[in-house]
Amino acid sequence: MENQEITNIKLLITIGIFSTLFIAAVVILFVVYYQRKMLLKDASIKLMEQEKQLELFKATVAAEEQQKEKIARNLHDEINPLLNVLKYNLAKYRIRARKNTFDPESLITDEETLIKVMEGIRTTCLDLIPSFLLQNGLIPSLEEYINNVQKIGELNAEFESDTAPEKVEQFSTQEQLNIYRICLEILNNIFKHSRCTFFKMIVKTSESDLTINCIHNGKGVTNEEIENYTNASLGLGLKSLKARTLLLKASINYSKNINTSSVELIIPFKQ
Amino acid sequence: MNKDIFIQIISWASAIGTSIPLFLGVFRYRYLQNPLKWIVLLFGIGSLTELLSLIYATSINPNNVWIFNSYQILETTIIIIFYSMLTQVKLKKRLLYLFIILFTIVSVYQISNIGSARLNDLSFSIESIIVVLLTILNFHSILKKQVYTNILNAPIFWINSGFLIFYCGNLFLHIFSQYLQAHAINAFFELWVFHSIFNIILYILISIGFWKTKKSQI
Repeated sequence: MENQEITNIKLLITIGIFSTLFIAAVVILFVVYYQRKMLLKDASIKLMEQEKQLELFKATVAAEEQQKEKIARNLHDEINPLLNVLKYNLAKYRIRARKNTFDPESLITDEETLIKVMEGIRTTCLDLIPSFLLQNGLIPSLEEYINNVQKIGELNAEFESDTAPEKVEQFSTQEQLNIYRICLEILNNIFKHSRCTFFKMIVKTSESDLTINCIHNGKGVTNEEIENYTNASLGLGLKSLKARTLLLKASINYSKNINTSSVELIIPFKQ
Repeated sequence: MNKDIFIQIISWASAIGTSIPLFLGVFRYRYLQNPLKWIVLLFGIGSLTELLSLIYATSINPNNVWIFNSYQILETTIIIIFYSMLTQVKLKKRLLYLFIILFTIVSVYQISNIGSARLNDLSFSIESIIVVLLTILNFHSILKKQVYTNILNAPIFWINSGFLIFYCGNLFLHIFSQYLQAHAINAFFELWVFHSIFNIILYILISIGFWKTKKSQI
């Protein structure tokens, strides 16, 4: 074989070796690069999730603070003045009793004041934990609420349920309270923003979950819209709603149509 | 430096270098997971083969190629077993065991055809293709599972990289080696230095792999 031919073959083999080696190096570098890229992506997703959770936690804490503020305001602005009046009256009666000019009939007004104080305290307590819910359970409480809405007469409200109470008893009192508050928040949003004239709540259960469907003829929203409102909103209602939904591992589906829109809350039973 | 001296140094480094990953493998043996123990065995057999071939060449017959041809079958078997232990899929494991049987049959047949004095390049080319495919599949599995926080700390990454570079680099050399041995033996010896260089790269990467081994990590 000629020298030139040998040199050509050697060159060809050397190029071949370096080409395959280059491909191997590219594969290895790609593995390192891709793995790092995926890790960074995972880390950023986790960070975003943590931020979201933190925001929800903050919203829950803020909602609780707001509730406490409301209770404090009730006690300070409504109960306290009434108690002051009673205290003033008692001092007045003590002086009159000493002078033997005390008229027991004057206690009637104070009795009324005392009833007002008791009413005020009861309302505040109801804000903390609805006693009707504790006594009668979730479904009758929701029915009672819808009946009250109907009695006001501004809109036509209906309630329908095929759910046995023992099914709902699978949820703890705290969970039932959370479901109740979610429903109240959903209803509050519907009444406030949808301008509906008809409303119907349907409660159903299956083997795996409890479904509460709120159908109305007002202006509806979609899941995307509600997500945007939740993220953009400065108010606590939607964020607190989301936090409670997460606690229950529940889901809420919003849908809107021309004639009827609905909000469907699905809460899974504990397995 | 004279070209011949350079080739001699590289050849010796390649022959002696096999003891480095072996030493590290033995040193870290108790931390090694079962698949990595097979790689230690591979380098143990590799070192013994180098020693045996040297003794054979100096005292019995300078042509010691049959030893390397026999070692190659063992080498392929161990590498395939190593990769079969990394997969959890039974079908893949069975397929890999089938490869071992087929490869052994082809290699024995080829050796009986070409005789004991020539390198079994066909088998080496087949081995290269199999191992390159296995390394790529293993990299794919690593990327899919995403179990490592830093892949550079994973022993399997370094071992895989070592095999990929070694077999990719040597593939072209072995495809043409039979032709070169027949027509230009000097050119063959000159180009064979690449084989020794890839051997050294393999030893370095495998050694890093063993060095990176910690408790319960592959």
